Amino acid sequence: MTSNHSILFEQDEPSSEQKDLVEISKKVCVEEINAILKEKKHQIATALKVCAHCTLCADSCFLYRSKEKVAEHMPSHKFITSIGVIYKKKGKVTMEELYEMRETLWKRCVLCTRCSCPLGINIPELLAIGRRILRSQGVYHSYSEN
Amino acid sequence: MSLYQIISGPMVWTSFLLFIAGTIFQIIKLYPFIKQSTTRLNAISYSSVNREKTTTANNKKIFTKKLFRHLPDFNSLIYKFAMLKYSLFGRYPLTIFVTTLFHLLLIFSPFMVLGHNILFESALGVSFPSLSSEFSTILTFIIILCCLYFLIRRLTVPLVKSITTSSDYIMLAIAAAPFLTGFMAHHQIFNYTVMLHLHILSGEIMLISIPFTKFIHMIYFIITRVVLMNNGLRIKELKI
Amino acid sequence: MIKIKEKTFNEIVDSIEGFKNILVLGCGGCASVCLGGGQKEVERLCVNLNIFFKSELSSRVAKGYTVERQCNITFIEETRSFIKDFDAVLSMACGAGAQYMAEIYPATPIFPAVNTIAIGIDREVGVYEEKCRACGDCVVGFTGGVCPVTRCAKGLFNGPCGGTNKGNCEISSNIPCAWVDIYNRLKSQDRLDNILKIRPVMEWQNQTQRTVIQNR
Ligand code: SF4
Ligand code: SF4
Ligand code: SF4
Ligand code: SF4
Repeated sequence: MTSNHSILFEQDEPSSEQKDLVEISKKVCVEEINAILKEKKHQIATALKVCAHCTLCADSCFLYRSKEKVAEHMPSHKFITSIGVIYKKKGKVTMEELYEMRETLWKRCVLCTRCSCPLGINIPELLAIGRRILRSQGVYHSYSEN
Repeated sequence: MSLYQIISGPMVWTSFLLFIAGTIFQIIKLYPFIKQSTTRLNAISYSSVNREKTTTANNKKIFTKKLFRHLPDFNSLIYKFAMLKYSLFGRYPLTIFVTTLFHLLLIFSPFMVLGHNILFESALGVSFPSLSSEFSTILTFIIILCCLYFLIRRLTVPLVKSITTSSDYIMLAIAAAPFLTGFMAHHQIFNYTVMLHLHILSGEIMLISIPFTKFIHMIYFIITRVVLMNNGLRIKELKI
Repeated sequence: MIKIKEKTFNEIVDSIEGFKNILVLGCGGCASVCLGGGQKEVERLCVNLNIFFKSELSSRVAKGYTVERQCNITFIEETRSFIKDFDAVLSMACGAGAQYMAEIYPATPIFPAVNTIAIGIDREVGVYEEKCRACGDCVVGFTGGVCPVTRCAKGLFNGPCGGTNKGNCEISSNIPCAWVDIYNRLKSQDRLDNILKIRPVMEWQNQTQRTVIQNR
């Protein structure tokens, strides 16, 4: 009985993927995102303009050096595909996109602030803005979900 | 007025004007960002002021069995040279070399071409020391080679490819065009007049595009780096 | 990383007695990793507090916000625009984060909503174990990778006390004696001579506040 009960109980609890599916059907609040984008407009615009796509920042990220040396771990790739996309779309992103960005912003970066760009772009700060926008939509990495 | 007169007269002035006005405009636009960074710096120094360097207990000397150990001489040139491999230059030697060379030549070589200096002299009454024709040719050739290096890197290295957009190619073309056309005009490859027209035109396009495109990193680079360096300096100051 | 645990609800409510607008400030760093003060916990505490405030029939409100880390000015800075709207801040970061917040905002009262417990490891999700007390003079090189400061109830640097009781500590038979573990490990690695090396006691030398400056 007890074991059945526990199985029942477990099934009642939605798995993290099911939860994500429920969450994805939620609407993105564009106004909220835009409020943050407006506050940080200069910083994001400057960074996107200044980044010469030179890839010299790749080796400064410890994750890039220690994990597979793939483009996804390069700091500039991380901010261009997350906050850069949100900025270019003026906040009009879908939940699915935000969930993809969550992978980039949490799993591929720990915000250790070690990376450096020869042109002086503060990449961790941009990634933090990205996380902030995702957090405002209730999208964030939960360390209890592994 | 002929086409030549237009592009070598009013157009030149217009593009210089646009360049200067655009630069000033962009710097003013960046002001809120600079201010933001300064508030942060103040916050850092606020919180660290009057703090003595405190280290932890260090009573482990007792356990050193050997009194004299061979330690690297941290100030020696050899040590510094060995450490070079951890620097940006050490990690990407060729790219950093090519990039530095390219940017230096891109900015300074146009001022050292005899033809340009004659124009400067007649327009402003000032001129810069000119290089010999052969030497300018070599420099121009180096710039074109650098551009080729960037192009090949963009086309082949997966890391670079992953964040390359069409604008990167356009930027590269705009940067290379004045030098390529100048080179061809000087050596009378193809048609001299056409090449000269193209040379002037492409130079003007480049000048105008500096404040309004990705070339803005020429200007913003100084600001963002100074903000960073300032940050670093403040932190160094705290090293009592 | 740093491990924290939420204070009891009563203690939290007591500490913010008399403050109207409360900001519950989470931390996306270690606090979030150990499920102690991340965005989820912040949201939960806000719900609890607001239910409590309603039951009190007061107009007090708690709002939640999570910064990436409270121990770095880069990430605290974003709260500057709205910090003045709140009468008090409940910080869900470790003590270091809470203190840094207090330092950055001298006018705002900061209250910790969590207890900073340990520098520890993750046994599994939600189970964390203390491993280090940051004594500032690590000796585990001599003690076979077992920290006597943390694991020994008396923090003895040199050898067990007289209370060692069949491999357990004298304070409880559930707690293994650190020095027995040290002995066994050193013995299995044939490094027993290490145990004879006398390590001078700290004598409170490690009690001043520390500043770390790395060579970069
Ligand atoms: S080093 Fe800087 S400019 Fe180069 S790709 Fe990275 S962020 Fe962009
Ligand atoms: S902050 Fe993120 S991107 Fe930068 S070095 Fe750390 S992990 Fe890499
Ligand atoms: S403030 Fe404390 S809990 Fe948060 S990241 Fe920093 S050390 Fe960890
Ligand atoms: S001896 Fe123990 S408390 Fe001290 S630094 Fe080492 S592990 Fe940490």
